[in-house]
Amino acid sequence: MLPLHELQQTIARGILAEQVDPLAGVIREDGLPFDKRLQVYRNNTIISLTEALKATYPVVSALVGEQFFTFAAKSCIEAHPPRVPRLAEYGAEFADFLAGLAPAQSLPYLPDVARLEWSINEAYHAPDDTGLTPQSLSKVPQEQFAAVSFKLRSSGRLLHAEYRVDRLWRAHQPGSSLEGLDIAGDCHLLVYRPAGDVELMTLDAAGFALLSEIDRGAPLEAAYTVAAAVDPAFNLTAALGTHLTLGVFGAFSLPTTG
Amino acid sequence: MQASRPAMKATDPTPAPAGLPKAGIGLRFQHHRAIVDERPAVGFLEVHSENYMGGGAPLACLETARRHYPVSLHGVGLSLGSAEGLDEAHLRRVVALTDRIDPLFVSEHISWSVTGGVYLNDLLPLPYTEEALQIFCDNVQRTQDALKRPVLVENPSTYLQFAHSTIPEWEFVAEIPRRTGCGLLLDVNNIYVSAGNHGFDAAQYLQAMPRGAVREIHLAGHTAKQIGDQILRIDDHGSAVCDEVWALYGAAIRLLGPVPTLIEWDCRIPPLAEIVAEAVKANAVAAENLERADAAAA
Repeated sequence: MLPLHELQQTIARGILAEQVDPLAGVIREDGLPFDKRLQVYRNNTIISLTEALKATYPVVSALVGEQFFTFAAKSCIEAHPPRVPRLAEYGAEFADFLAGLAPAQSLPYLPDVARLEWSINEAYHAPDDTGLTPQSLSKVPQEQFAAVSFKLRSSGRLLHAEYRVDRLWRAHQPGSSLEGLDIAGDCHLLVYRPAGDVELMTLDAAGFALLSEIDRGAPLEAAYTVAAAVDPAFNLTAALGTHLTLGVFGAFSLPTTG
Repeated sequence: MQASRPAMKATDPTPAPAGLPKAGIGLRFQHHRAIVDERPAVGFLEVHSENYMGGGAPLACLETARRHYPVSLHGVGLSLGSAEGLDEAHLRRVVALTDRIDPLFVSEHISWSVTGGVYLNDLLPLPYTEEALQIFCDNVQRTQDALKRPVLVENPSTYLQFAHSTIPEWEFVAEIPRRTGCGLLLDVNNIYVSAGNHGFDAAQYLQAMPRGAVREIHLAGHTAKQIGDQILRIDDHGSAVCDEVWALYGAAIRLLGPVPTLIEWDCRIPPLAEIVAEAVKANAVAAENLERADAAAA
């Protein structure tokens, strides 16, 4: 008799790797071959996880079509099954998986689209929080501004893509059109959820550098130095004003003295 | 918006008899808007807990619905049948959501989904052995300790049986509340599906359920699938409840008395009104069978 843990491991291999032989004699047949019975569970698992990936990656799905998506999803599920029992957290590996998938090489922008959709998914499900406003900093003395460290909202995700996937993504939203779409050139994006809906903010390279440094924990002055190295004309006051008005930051801190 | 209206509409066509709670429905994303706008006369709502463990729109919708209805949390991810024990991080998520929603019930399944840390996203069958029973009960205890309240566990739909099972399914199911003090969520459709798939007697299954332990009943549709020359009943929650399952539900009510009942519909999801109509039908079937039981007892 198989101990339960060993049985469960054997069934998992039957479902994810189609190694069904060790279950002969373990699963009763009763008029139906044991592998046909296991197949019901295999189908449930693969189909439901494919649906979960399709819900997270609707634009990838639209770009490659139903048949290819189903093939790619099944291969990804078998290689990277979920490790958290929550489908909202499933599918982080899909972009890298697509990047390495030979038949997907004709769409070189596909992994970037998937990265954007994953960021949108993470932002959608991030914990609730509130954004800093311009008033939030009213008690910070002017001379300490350089030392302020901001934190992005819990939903904030920064993404640098090799193609204009922001345009591609927007063109796939309801009411939009693919007409005249040009995706040549890279883009710098902030994905975040200021209120109910996820927003996509297209940044310039210096603005992206600023937020990336801030996201790494750099105080404002150090982050500005990096942004100014990208573009000496970078306007920090304007950028901060925008981010505080649009609720990009969730918190700030000052270094403790003494 | 109808923010100040009470949860129950006065125009419900089938007022429940005293002691009979009005049937509830499973709430799915498609109906988040409609449930708040239409406020149908159902007794409670039930959601899949794992869909509400982040922030944003889903949780906000659930909290809005909660202001108008009792809500029950039906989990699909704890994997109470896992030999490796529970995922403590996931258990903490269940506790946090329970604290936030203050649910009518917290329920899970008599099945497993996790092994080696991998989540298979299906309700997989257990062998009915003393080893599996004890593992399952230990995991139920751990969950109840963390939640500081009893949980309900649901009898499964299954498509296979293990050669080394030694306990009939109904005895395995009935033993869990005896050992852990948990309640049962009796899925009448699952009894019908498994009885058909494995050739056991649904009436005998019902008779084996411990009185008082059954705190909730589930009803749903299933499909019959031809595989070779066999018919396998598949529990897909994608249609109306069939006549045979309504009859079995009537028998369950005659046997167990008034038990909160819930309609589940998870694929090919119809307009809200169609699911509500099933709940209204459940009220009528329950009322009729309670009367029959009373008449038989008199």
